[in-house]
Order: sequence, then C-alpha cells, then structure tokens
Amino acid sequence: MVAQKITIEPVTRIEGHAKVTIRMTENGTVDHAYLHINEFRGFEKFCEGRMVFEMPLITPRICGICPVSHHLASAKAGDEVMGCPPPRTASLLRELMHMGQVIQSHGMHFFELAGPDLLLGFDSDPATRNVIGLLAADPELTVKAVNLRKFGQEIIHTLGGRRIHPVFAVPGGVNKSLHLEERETILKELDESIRTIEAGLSIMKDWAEKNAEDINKFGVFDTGYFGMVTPENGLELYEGNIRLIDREGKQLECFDRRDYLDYIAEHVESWSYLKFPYYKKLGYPQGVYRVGPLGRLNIADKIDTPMANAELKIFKSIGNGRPVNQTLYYHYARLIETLFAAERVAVLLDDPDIMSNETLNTKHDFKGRGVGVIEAPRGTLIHDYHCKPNGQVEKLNLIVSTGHNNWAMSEAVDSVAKTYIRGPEVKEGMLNRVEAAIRAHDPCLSCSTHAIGEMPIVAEIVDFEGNLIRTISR
Amino acid sequence: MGKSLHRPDYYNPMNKKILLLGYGNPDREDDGVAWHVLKGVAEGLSLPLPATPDDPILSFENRVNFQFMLQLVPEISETIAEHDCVCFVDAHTGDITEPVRAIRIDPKFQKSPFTHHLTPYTCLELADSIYHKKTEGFLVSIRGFSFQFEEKLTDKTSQYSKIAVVLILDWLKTGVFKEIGVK
Repeated sequence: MVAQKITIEPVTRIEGHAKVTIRMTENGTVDHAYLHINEFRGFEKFCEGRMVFEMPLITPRICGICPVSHHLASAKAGDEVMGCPPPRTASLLRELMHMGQVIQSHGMHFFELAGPDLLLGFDSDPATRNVIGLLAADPELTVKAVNLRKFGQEIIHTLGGRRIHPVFAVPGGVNKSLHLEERETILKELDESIRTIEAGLSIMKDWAEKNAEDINKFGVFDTGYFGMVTPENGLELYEGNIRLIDREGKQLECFDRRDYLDYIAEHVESWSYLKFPYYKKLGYPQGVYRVGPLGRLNIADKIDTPMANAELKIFKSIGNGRPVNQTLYYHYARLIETLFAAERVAVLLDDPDIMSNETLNTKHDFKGRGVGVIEAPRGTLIHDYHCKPNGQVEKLNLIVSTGHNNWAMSEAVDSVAKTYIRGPEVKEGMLNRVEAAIRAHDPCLSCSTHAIGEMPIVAEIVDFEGNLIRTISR
Repeated sequence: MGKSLHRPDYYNPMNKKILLLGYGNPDREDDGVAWHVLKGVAEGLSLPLPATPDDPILSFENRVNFQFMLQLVPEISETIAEHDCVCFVDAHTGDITEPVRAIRIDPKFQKSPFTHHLTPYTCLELADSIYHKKTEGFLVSIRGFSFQFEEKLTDKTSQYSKIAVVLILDWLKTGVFKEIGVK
C-alpha cells in the first residue's frame, strides 16, 4: 500500500469552493486531513464608494443563505456611522426579524442536513440518508420540520416585505411598523413551532444517550469560545458585548464590539485562502476559538427564556464545569438556540412598544465609523465601516461567521479522519463522517450563486507520486 | 405569485396548471439569467413587466404562474405541489456545454452535503413525498460565463437567454416541450 491522498471536493464556482484533502500513510492510516476554503473577498472592494444607507440593501447579496444577518449587521453599522441610534421599537422589530432567520436556518440545518445522519445513521444507505429517508421514517415530523422553516421565513417576509432583498432595516431604524393582524398571524403559528423544536430536542437527546461513544471521539478538542452576551452574561443574539472564554471556561475578555480589532488577529496558512482568526494575547494557535451555537452556549451563563434555560442547564452538565467541547454537540446547542429564538418571538411580540409607529430616528450626528455586530446563525458577524462625511463608504471590513470557525473546522476534519478512516478501503460511511464534521459547524461555504452543472462531491485517492488511484463520486 | 389576467385560449393548450420557477442571484451577472428569462416570457405573453425581481409577474387565470427566488427552499415544494407542471429556470456552468439545455426531470433527492441549497430534482421529490403530488418537472438552463457583482448579463448569456424564452413560449403555446441536451 502506497501513501495516498484523498480529496473530497464539492466543485462550485466561486466563493463556495471548499475541498478536503486526506493524506494517508503507507499503512492506510491518516497522516493529516485539511479543509481548504477558497473565500471570495471581492465584496469589500465592491462596496467601497457606496453610500452607507445603501449598504443594508447591498450586503445581503453576499449570501443567499443568511441575507438577513448581513442586512441587520449592516444597518447596525449604519446607525453608528450616521449617529442615529434606532428607537426601541425598531430594535425590537429588527430582533424579531433576526429570530425568524435563526429559526428558519437552524431548523433547516437540524432536520434536513444533520437529522438524517442522526436519525438514520452515519453508515446507513446514502441513497436514503437524507430528508426523504427521514420522511419515510417519520413523515409527520418531516412535515412539521418544513413548516418550522416556513414559520421563520414568514416572520422575515412579514417584516421585510420583499422576497429577494429585504427593504426593512435602514440606518436609524426600520421603515415598516408591525400591524396587529401580522402580530396575530405570527403568534398563531408559534406554539406548533415550539412543539416541533421540542420534538427535535427529544430526538437529539435520545440519540446522544445512545451514541455517547461516538460523540466522545468525534472531533473532540479544546478551544476558546467567542460570542455576544447580555449584560448578565446571558445568551444574546442581537445586541451586546462580546465575551471570550478560555478552554477551561474562564473569562478572558468581555469587550465592546467596536474594539474587536484590539482582541482579534488573523493567521494565514499556505493551504487555505480563508484566514484563521485568533485571540491576540494568546497567539496562534493557542488563541483559536469557536463561534456559533456551541460557542454561544459555552460563553453564556444563562438564557433569559425559561424553556431554553432549562435545556441550557442540561447542556452545561455535559461539560461538568468545563466548556462542552464535543463537535457533535453543536447540533444540541443549535436546537436550544432555536427554542430560545421561538420563545424570544413571544417575548418580543408581547412587548407593548413593538406595535408603536416610532420606528425611525431621523436626527443624525455623523460619526464616520460604525461597527455592526450580530450573532448570525453560524456565529459572530462583524461589519465595520469607515465613511466620508458625505456618507460614502471609504473602507470596510467584514468578518463572517464561518471565518471564526475556520481552525475548528479544519481540526474537526483532521480529528475525525484520523479516528474513523482506516485504509486500504475507504468506505462511504467514513467519508460521510468527515463531511459531518464540517456540517456540524453549519458553515456558509455555499455562495449566493448556485447554477446547476456543479460536480458532485468527489473523493480522489492519489498516490504519493500524484497518480490517481481511485475516484469516489458522491 | 401575482394576480391573474385573462388570456386567450391558445396559450397553454395543455390546460394544465403551470409554474415557471426561476431562481438565481440577479446581482451576480449570469447567475440571475432566470430572472431575465421570466421577464422575456412575460413580455412574449404581453404581460405587464415587473420592474425588479421582487415584483410579481401577473399570471393567466392562475394557469401559468411565475415565481422568482434567490435560491430553492424546502417550502417551495408546497407551491410546486399545487401545480401540474413546473419548469425550473437556472444558469448552468461546468460540464454542461450546451448554450441552452432543456430537459425533463424526475423527482430524486440530490445531496448537498455542506450547504442549505436544494436542487430542482430534490424539490420535486419533496413535493411528491410530502404532498403526494407528482408534478411534471422540466428544467431549462442557460450557460453562464461570469458571476461577478453586476446586474447585467454577459452578451453571450443574454443572447442564449432569448433562445430559452422562445423555447418556453413555444411550449406554452403548443404544449410540446422541445428537449435539448442530455440529462
């Protein structure tokens, strides 16, 4: 058996391009596995020269997966640039839209991307290890899962009005108030959505109990954790300071979002176009951290809604005083956040201020720089704008959620490949686990373009001289 | 979907409820070709033209409906299940060499291991599995060449999009779907 290289490459066109290379030793074990990402950074250049008030309309075009997160982060940056903090009603409505985004994105991820692995098994027939197989196994749940996503999407549509580019948040507030009948419509669907999320949680916990051995060897490693918190260190997805904890759970920093550059730096590796952010004071790689659901629940001491808080206590017990470091628990954390988002919808809709028509602050006190941060479904999203006095964007920096998790995804791929791949025959289920290591982080590798004609996932096994030995097509 | 307009009977002789479902990003050059094709079909049917991809295109007594999306999502399967035929319109690249490809498609789940996006085949499969509706599927795709941040199509794709418009209009007028290219 010669040393060989396996490549898993979903060939997409532009920034969605990612590839896994698994380099094997002569005895059929994994030497090292890499996740390479070709990130498209042209968007920042594209935005230079645009007016700051245009940015909430332009930046959602970055991504077809989470346009709402970019829309809101951009408006928040615009609030600061223009010196026009939004009225409370506008903040409540923006957060409501954000909760819709979290529900639809997390709901889709758990039930349609991750669920088949958990419910049907990593090694089950790939032809049915998908949402259709899930439907056959549990038709009622699958229909509910589709409706859960639809519920989140309807909240976005109700507020955003338009399907393609939401015209809602603007610097200083939002341009639409909530009508009574819209509030009632959202509330009518809420209980059913919460029941679906609870069903998902029940599935997840049952699966975790039965698969503890797998969970405890699948991408388990220590990192720091990073995300937004409430003033009392509770889970926060819309507005708050950023908290960073170390591998043991001890707080390293809790800082104002505007100061993020004082704490974060980015490392470059020769094998990936995507940079690797880390905590400056600890250096690279000691200072690497994780964001997204696992990161957020690890940094949160509590959740301010009762059902999600009860789940958080169970989640925390897994770590036994330390952060939960098992990659597969991203799924559990994601569902707890979905529950929080649904509960938060009720809290927001019960707030009397949300029905007010005072949705826009038109008084400006131009500041020139604005940093908008939001906890997107995948993690902390940062929009940092520097503008000329006329409001034209002079320079901008965007740090997207998937970027923060770059090191963790690479580490998870390496760890899972080393744990599960045993040559010479590389079985489909082994590769599925490597994919699942990436999937757990719910990366936004897909871009806002998605024409057909893309190749399927291809695994190429290449010997040490570069000769193609075998191609595994998915 | 938009409001309904009355149209002469010679359109849609199939007398089926048809959905023209375009998807893509109109801000990424050729990726948004479906939007231009839908607009061209609307023009060919003398329908009022939408100003932006967000504006609805009026339909004919709900027999030929138009919808444009940034990406396919699971809940679109419900809309698909309300129709007898769906014609997906998208851009294509890579291995597909034809300027315009027009094929019939069957329900089939296609894996998208890392992303949230769905394929036309998967949407048909979801309509069948969840709503028990075997909607007839067609896919018209147009070769794209550039995917930068522009709203205009490249010259070649623009030219090819006109072929797609004629093909769809012919189908709507005659009931015969002319297949081009291999599946």
